[in-house]
Amino acid sequence: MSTEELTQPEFPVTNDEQPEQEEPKSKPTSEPSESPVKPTSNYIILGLDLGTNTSCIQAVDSASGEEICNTVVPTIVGYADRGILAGILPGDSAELYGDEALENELHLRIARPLKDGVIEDLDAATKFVKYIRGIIDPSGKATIHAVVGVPSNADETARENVQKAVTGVFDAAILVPEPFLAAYGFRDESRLSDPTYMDPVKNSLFIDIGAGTTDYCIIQGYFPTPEDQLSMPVAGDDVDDHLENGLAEAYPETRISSNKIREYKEKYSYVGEPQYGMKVRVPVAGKPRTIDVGKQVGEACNMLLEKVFESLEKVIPMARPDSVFEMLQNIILTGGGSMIQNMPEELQRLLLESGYESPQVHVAGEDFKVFVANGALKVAQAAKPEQWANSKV
Amino acid sequence: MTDTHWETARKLFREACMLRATGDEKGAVRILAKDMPGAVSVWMGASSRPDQEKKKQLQEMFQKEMQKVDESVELCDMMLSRFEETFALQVSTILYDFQMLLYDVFGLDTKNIRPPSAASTPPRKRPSVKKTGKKKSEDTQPQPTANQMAERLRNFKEARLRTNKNWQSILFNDLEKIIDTVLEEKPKSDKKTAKPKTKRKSTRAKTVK
Repeated sequence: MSTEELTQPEFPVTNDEQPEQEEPKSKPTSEPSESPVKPTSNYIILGLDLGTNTSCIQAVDSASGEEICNTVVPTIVGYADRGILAGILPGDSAELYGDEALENELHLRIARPLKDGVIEDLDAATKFVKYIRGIIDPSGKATIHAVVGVPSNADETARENVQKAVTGVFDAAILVPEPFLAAYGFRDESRLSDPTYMDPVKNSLFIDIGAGTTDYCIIQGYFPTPEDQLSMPVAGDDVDDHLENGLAEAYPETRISSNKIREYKEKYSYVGEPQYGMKVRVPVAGKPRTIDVGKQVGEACNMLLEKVFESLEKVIPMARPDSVFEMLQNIILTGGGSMIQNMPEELQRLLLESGYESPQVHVAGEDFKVFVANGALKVAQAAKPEQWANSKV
Repeated sequence: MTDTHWETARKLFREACMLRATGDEKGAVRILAKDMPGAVSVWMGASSRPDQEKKKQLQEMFQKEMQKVDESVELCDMMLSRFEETFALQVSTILYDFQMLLYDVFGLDTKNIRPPSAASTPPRKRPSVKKTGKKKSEDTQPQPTANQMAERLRNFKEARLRTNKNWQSILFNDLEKIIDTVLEEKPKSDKKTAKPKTKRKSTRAKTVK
């Protein structure tokens, strides 16, 4: 390949005949919009967060910068049962993805491409990535350059699997560690001149409590090195398991599906003193029965809190000694676990009780699902042609 | 009395910085977590100054000590650059310079390092060695060979690159460098035209169970 080829990748020209759609640029949201996809351009820049439970897709037209897609979809592939009658599944599809797969779960064999943040089922992951491509480019004609988040602890195999999953689906892909992307996505550059704005990348400790792993990342104005990061394989999915076991023990006659368990967790999760009165209806031999899940939810979440705190105590000494005091005041919780009621307060209490000076734990916000993809999109927009040329897949 | 306590805390912190700069993260953390808090609280208890002043004084000391270590490491790196361009015979000269530096800056014991041969380097006054109370037989250890010293220097350099942020870190908003760095980490099986500009180590995090 000549130098010219390297520095001059093929950038398709935007289709001028395509009617322009004057839509306001929307703020990233974790809720899928009703019509998330705008007509595709010929050259698309994509920021992708392939998550264990949900994936976030942010795509823009490279030429105009106009948003093409900004949505969150469940990371699920559903395979139709053999011999299923025509008309049951939408379009009589053999495979369904995301929300459609969830809605038709009863008639599908559900596959989750990722586990603990990394690809477990490569075939399903590849299909899922193709589905994503279909969302942002239904015509299949556009050139797509993607930045994809990978967990900070992803080993060579895990990274290779991501690479394989996107090969032949996108035209170029750059894999970037998720903690960096999350911090970059969380940062609001437009407010940097605001003296009241606390720049989260100046001196902070990010704790991303995801589904498969809890990732810690010290960010002090630099691209985080391995010494700045720690990954713990205890996270939201372990809360599910703990809750499932707790409920099975307390109510042995009930059978509750994994989806319901997750639903209870997302609705009622809290840490701290036991809370009661969280009533849910479950079937017992086909008859409805109301049970209180408060105690079990609390126990499961407190287990996570303890583990998060244990690892946090290992991470804090990793920061430079002269920066620790300030960093302790900027602990930022993100990921699904950050939404657990009282999580920041309880973590702060544990830190105080353990002797740390004036710790302050903040929550990144309800838009946590989009930070990685948002960061990925920013990186993708900054990538130079020669860098994309080196990233062809 | 407070001076003694202050000196104890300062020395401990300096030692932690040195350990960290030479790659002994655990040793540094051990001092910072186990020894420093006690030393600092003894000094704070003995000093009659207001708490805010004491805290400020501590912070300044931390900064100063870290700067000293960073500077010495920087000097060392300059010498390492020299090393890379020369032959193994010159290793002892460079290492000796480094040992002198360690002695000058930190007062570390350099007695086991033999000065380079008179033919290759100008004579230089050897630092006097503090008595350690060891028996004579313990002092007569075999001298490291040039290759061993070269190996030690390489290890030191690698450890320094791994741990010293001032030398290897990429600014958070330097996306071009960040992308170059992650491209160098592209899975081997799929590397096509990617050509690393500089060798960097993995950006993967440690995992705890």
